[in-house]
Amino acid sequence: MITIHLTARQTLSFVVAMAALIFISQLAQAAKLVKVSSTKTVSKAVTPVSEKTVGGKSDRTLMREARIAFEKKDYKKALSLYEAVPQSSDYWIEALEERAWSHVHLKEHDQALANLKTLFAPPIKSEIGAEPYLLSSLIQLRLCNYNELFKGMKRFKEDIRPRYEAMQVLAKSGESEASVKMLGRAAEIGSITRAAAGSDIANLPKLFYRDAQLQSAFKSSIRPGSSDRFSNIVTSRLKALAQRDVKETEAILRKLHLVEVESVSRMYSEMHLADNKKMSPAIERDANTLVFPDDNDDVWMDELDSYRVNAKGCPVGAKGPQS
Amino acid sequence: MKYTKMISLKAALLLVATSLVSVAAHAQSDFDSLGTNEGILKRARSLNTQQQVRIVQKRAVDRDMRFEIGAAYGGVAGGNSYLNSQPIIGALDFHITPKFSVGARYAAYANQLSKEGQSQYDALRAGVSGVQVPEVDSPKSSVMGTVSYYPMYGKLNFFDLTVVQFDFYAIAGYGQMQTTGGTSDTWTAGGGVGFWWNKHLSSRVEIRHQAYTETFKTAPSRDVGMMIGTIGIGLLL
Repeated sequence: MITIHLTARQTLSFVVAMAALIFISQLAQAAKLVKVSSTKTVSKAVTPVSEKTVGGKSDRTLMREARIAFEKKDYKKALSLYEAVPQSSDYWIEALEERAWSHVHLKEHDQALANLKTLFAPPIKSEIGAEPYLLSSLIQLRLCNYNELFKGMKRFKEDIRPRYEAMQVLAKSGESEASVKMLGRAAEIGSITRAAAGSDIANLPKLFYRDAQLQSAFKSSIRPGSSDRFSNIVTSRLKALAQRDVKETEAILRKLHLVEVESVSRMYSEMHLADNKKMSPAIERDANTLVFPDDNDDVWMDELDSYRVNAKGCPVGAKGPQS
Repeated sequence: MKYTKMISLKAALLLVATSLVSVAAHAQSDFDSLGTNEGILKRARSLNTQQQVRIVQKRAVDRDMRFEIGAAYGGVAGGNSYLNSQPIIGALDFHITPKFSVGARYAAYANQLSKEGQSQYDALRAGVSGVQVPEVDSPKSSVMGTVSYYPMYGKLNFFDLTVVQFDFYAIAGYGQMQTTGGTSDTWTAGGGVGFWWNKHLSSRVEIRHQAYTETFKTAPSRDVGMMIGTIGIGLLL
């Protein structure tokens, strides 16, 4: 017979073993964190939060070099530099958008669509402008995927129209509900940042927090005893940025109408664009790769930038492809 | 002259204002008219080419050539009807790949008489006639070698705090069971779910069948099977 004393002892030893395991695990985690933070201390001290350093290069430098490579039509180099911009960077969304353009130039339409899929994900779409929607339409036109093209136009109206209307208000007076809230939060923090925009970011000009004039005028305006001149500069700068966005959206809207006309003409004439898209490499399904189905209604944060799109491309019709 | 200037200024302002309103109204109608022709949409749907979207991720926790040590606690269903047993298990697994691991399990069993066993002893003490001493061969400990196969994976949104990847697995093992009556061979088969919380911490929920032989002094030995359910925590080294 086993006595109760023995059971209690065993239970106690089990509890102690469990506690020890948790402690060791947490200790290992903590040790790793300390190691990482100690190596980052130096760069943190000299680099602003938005300027993460990767391989000795700040994300701003990476973006600059990537854009130079893009200008020189060295899209592969541009891509590798854009891809080095970490997700935690303030430049990541721009890098992703420009990655999509690089893929298009390399005729890697599937990868471009995968980048755009991340850009259209709910947490990110409030920060992008109208241009990715145009890019998406152009790719779908190229792939003869007219249904997706029109779906994209619907999405453009749903996502961009409220933003366009908010920008119109801001463009008229330099003040809106969103801008007032943002400036209030920025005053508490002491500078205009992306975080200060909070959930109002969708109703504020694109990348407004990057504007040097706005930043310096705002910092001067919150100094005690500062004149109204600086507040007026802040208002006029926000107005100018909003006007820029309104203009840009209207230009994109006009281009989307042209894409629509082009797609209708190609649908009915069956004269498709040349199907010269590069085939995507097959997914390597090894033991370390996890593949999940996509669910448009349920976007998980860890899935951003993990999309793989495989589009068929244009059907070769009776009239054949056209360049 | 001044008056004329004022008039022309007013006219210019009015023209600008009117054109602004007209541009805004034009843009609104441009939004309204974009991609709305039902006939065209129908045609587009009929021409749809396939577009497949997948999410491709790497495993968050590397399990290539890694050891995992763990401890588990649980309960037993079935087995000897006169006993309630509770196993405390120490486990060592070596993950060859995320799909296969080999390992060893040591289990110590805490046993108590079940209600049925206790009532039989009580009746015996009370001198109730016809009651026999219950045949009990308590499991003391077992040692087994195991093989695990992880064919399915998934991930879990843990209360919006973190995303945890997990694997369903099948496990089979063979070894020795030490009972109060002696030693016998034992085998096990079952399955479970392993959650990989971070690079060092794991947990497992497992249910398996384990069979061994009970040996009695007065009665012939017999094969017995029990279902063991455990919950455990592990450390990936």
